Amino acid sequence: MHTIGIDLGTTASAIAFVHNGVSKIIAVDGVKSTVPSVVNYGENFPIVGREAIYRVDSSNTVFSVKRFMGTDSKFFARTPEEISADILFFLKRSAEQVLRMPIDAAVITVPAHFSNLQRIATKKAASLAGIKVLRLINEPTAAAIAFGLDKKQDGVFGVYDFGGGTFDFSILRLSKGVFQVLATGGDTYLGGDDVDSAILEYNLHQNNLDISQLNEKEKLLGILLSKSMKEQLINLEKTHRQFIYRGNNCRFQLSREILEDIVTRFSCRTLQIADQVFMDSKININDVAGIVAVGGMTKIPLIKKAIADHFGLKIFDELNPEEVVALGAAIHADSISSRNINSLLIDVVPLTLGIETIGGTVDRIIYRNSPIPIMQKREYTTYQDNQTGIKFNVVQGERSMAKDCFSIASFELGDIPPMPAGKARISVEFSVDVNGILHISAFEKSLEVSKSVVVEANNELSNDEMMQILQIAETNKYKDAEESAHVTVRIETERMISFWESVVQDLSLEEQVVALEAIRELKAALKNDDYEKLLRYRKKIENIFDQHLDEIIGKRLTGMSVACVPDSWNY
Amino acid sequence: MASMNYYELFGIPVSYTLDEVRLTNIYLEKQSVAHPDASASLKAGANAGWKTLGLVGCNPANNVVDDVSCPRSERLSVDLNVAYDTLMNAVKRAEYFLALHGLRIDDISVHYAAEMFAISEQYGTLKTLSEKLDFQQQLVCRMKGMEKSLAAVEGNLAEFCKRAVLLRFIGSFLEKVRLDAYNRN
Repeated sequence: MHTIGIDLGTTASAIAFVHNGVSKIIAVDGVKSTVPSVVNYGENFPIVGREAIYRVDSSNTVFSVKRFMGTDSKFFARTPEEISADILFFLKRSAEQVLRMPIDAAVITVPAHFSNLQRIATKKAASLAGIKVLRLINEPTAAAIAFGLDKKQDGVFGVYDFGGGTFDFSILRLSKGVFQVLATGGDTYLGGDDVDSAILEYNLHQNNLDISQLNEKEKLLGILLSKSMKEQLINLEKTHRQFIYRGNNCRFQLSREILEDIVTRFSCRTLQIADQVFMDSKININDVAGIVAVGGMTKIPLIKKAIADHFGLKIFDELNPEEVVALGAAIHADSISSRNINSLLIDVVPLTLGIETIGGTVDRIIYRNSPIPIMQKREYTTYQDNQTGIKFNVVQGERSMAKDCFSIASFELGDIPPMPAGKARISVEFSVDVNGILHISAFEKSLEVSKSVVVEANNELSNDEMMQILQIAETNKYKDAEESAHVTVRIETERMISFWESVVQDLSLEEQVVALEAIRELKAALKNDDYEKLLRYRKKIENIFDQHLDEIIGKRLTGMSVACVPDSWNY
Repeated sequence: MASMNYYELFGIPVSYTLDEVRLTNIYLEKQSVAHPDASASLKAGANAGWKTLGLVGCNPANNVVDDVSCPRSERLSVDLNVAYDTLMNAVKRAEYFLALHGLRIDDISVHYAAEMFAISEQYGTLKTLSEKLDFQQQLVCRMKGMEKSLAAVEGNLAEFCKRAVLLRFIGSFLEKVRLDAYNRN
């Protein structure tokens, strides 16, 4: 069985594969180690990743869909699961192209703090993409696996995972190949995306504008500009850009100092969460060997410094923070599928699970940080004479009132025979499986009226839909992976060439010469079916165009040139 | 099949006093055989593996009935997790220890009313987040102290029941403080 590890991220995703005992990132088309989690629906088929960014258009492009997993939102008539499935399918196909073999199954990572509904939505997305989920594992845990096995070092570690959309902090103990998660905490709505919005708001404010004055297209452009300014300040002291608002030039500028002010607002919150997790874990901070830095946000020097200063601990950042989660997922996939257990993982429940009782309070059944798999039972009774049904509202969260927690499911146990209040004995069993997903069963003890519930996301698939999907997955199965891979790469490359040719005049003269020459070579490679050469030239051209991504995107979005100040590219 | 209590599951003496390091080592050793991922690797050898580790009991508190939907390995892993989680928690262990003796923590107790009141009062005067975090840290230390004080009287169950009231109160107060600090911002 061929398996991969998939880091399905908010802003970027990555895939990895274990070969000869070593976990390696699969660079999609040999170009970059991560794929933007962006999907464009401008054509009659979804376009994912970098190409989707080239084609960005606010009327058909979806960014950061992960933030909407487990909700009823729809984008261009598609559910978050369906959009994520398009990303997953692209990743799977890319892996098949690079590895030249079919992929059957994967370990997919989710934020440790993902709720039950978000986990189920992720699993559903995978099945829509025709991927068998070996296991859903938590992102910080995956990072610890990659890091721990890399170092072969026993001890207690903190994992600080600050990504594009979510923040997680976990404390793990590694001893003799067993990874035991001691405590975890986080915020599913705290990430680099929020920093980008804050940068945009700052710059709009400097120009006497307000975010509410921007339409969708302008907002998207502003966010993309802010994101790229943030990334530049990893290496530069200051940067500036031109933002065109209704024909007026606005100057966006950002220094590292101001960025640090903005970032500090968010990093303070992350450190508060981390403090709580330390307290939950009952681990003395002196017993911790160090903190593993994970996620794109930790590339910002200030963040690393803030963590180091706050805890007085060593920061482990040898592995690329954007790759480490996928690397760990691949190791775990290999470990499970080869049945060659070199690492065992015992994770925990991130949020307390309970049932709403009379008066709206929560009866806690499985507490946060309980090791999984786990099961707990409770007994309830009727509160009225001859009551024939009981409705259960299942909630997730730490608050004592059900209304302050997330309601993740409700179900009714009916057909209870009439009897006096308090006589019925209804046993409710909660079990959380190794994927962190809750299963519930309830039954009336004396009469064996029972009901089993796997807590599901709201938009359930009908049987017909499921059959359809299975058939599609079947027809998509590769008879000959290699040949099929070539065909899709060819089609993609042809599309890219026509795109590049349409924007090549935006480049400087020297760049135009180089790019046109490379495009000529690429066409020749296509004609001669020279796969290696094709990849080589694609990479070369993408590198040239990447430098001007902002301008190209800006044009697409506004139909006007977003002037890019040359000195900001001097890195 | 004779059912085992949580202590027997790990082969440690029934006592409120707990060697956490030792328990953790035994727990991890057993999980590395019982966990669904690990037992897949052992396949045919699994039964022998469970026997050698003494993992033939079921969880008495859950009154587990065998059913086909739950593979045996997962059941054992669940039992170990439930038992470990209970024993590692000072309040849950006190409740479980008493339950094994047919007792429970007193519902309402006048014995520590003054202490409880003082804790509430003191918390009410705290303003800043850092004060609250410090207080939380103090409560964590106090919990550890209470745990020791309970262990010291585990031979005297009446006194144990009495002191456990304060332990349980601090435990739930800690939860309240944590929630308060966590939800700020």
